[in-house]
Amino acid sequence: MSENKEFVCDSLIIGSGIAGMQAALDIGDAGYNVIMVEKSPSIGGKMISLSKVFPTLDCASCITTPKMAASSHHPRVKAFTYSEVEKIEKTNEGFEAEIIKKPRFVIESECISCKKCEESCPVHLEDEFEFGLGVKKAISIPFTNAIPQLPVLDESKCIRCAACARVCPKDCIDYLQKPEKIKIKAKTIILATGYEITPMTAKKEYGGGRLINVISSLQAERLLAPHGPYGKVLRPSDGKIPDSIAYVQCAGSRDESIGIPYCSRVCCMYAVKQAMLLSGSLPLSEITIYYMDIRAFGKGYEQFYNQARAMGINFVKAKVAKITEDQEHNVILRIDKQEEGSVPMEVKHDMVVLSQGLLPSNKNFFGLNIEKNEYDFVASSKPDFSPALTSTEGVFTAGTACGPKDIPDTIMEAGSAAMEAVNYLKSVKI
Amino acid sequence: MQDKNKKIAEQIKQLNALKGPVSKELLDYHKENMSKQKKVLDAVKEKEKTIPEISSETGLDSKEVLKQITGLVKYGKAIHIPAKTGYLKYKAK
Repeated sequence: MSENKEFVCDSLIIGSGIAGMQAALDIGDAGYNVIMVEKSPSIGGKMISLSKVFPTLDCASCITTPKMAASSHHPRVKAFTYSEVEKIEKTNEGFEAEIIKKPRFVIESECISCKKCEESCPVHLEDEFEFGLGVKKAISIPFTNAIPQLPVLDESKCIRCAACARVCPKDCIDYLQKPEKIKIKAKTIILATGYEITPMTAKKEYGGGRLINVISSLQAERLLAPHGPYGKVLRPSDGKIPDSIAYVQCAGSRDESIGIPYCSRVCCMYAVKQAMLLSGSLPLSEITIYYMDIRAFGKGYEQFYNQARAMGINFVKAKVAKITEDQEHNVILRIDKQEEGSVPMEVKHDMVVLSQGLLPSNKNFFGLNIEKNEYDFVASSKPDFSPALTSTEGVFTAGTACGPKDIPDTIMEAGSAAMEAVNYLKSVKI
Repeated sequence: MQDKNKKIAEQIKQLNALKGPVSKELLDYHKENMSKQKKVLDAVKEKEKTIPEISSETGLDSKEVLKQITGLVKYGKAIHIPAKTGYLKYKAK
């Protein structure tokens, strides 16, 4: 571990997804200094990996990339990527955070993002940005529009052939780089730590993680993205263009038995969106959504759902009891239609997407004394009028850190958190 | 150039001393992966083929062929030929 470096800012934002970036831009524009800390090698959060957004079907990357560029070039916003917050302590002057900046094994100030290291590396690995569907090298820039455009070397998979170091025109590969300890003093904290999706294995009867053609909703996003892993929607077992795709709703929410009794709010709409995009990209394929009830809660969502029906997406009100596969890895669903007189039946699809729910990404809040709700999301102290307020003065929250929500609500709440933080900075003389 | 190579060799030496040599499992996995990659690339050198065709020719599992060909396409060693139904075809560049 290298020596401590110290930084001082007005607001420390944990997380640089769409909520973190929006809050950083708003606080920066108000004249205060911001530091964002991001655990991944790039800012952008989950939104940068999405294909399009509902209900407008705007390109997600076209919304996120300008925010990424704006926040990385903002004169009052600094970002530490590939960095983990170890702990945060409340002090008389505000807060003190300890950050560990993980080594990329690249001298950041020297790298010119030429990608020669990536091209020369002979080691192919599963790409976590593609949620396991694509391939990356042992040293690689995380994705095309990553910010910063800096490669990361996966030390655990590197075979030390030194091909990357030999081709680097700036000699900036440093195999001996160590983690760096950073101390940040801040007057306010914004928790924008986001969400994780329910594990694929949460409902064992659905075969997630075991049946190859049962994929996650985020994998489906990548398949639909213009720069997706295969360049086309293909099923993972054999690269077939699927003729029939099914969505299983509530595959990770509204289920007491897996400890997630709440509705994750976005699953219905992202499934409808993906189904519409699939029907555009695979016009000859049949797309079916098995649901309990459709929750089209936001502005324009009901019309969006009706549009999907009109496009020929099959909506089947049914409970899916079990998912298995045949010898060709076709997926077999045992369903029970919610109709009078219906009997359990089996239906076959080429590929199945599980509409997983949303879980809090962080549950301990880095040692801060923050009240949680019963599902471990940050509890707002005034949920009706000031949703960004937490139980600790000076600590605010934005986005899905405080509960499942869609992108428009996340952005709106991030603005609210920024406003609360600015008001706090104005009112409190530290 | 000589200085550069010397510096790299010194770093690798220090790394080996610090963390021990690269494990045999990792090297074997990498070797096997390279051999699979070569098999797939050889299979599409002359003629464009679908994943099941490459799979039956190389004896590799379809899932493995898809993984290998995805890497080969991404890093510019193969291309895919678009299709509307069935399977895409792949060819070495």
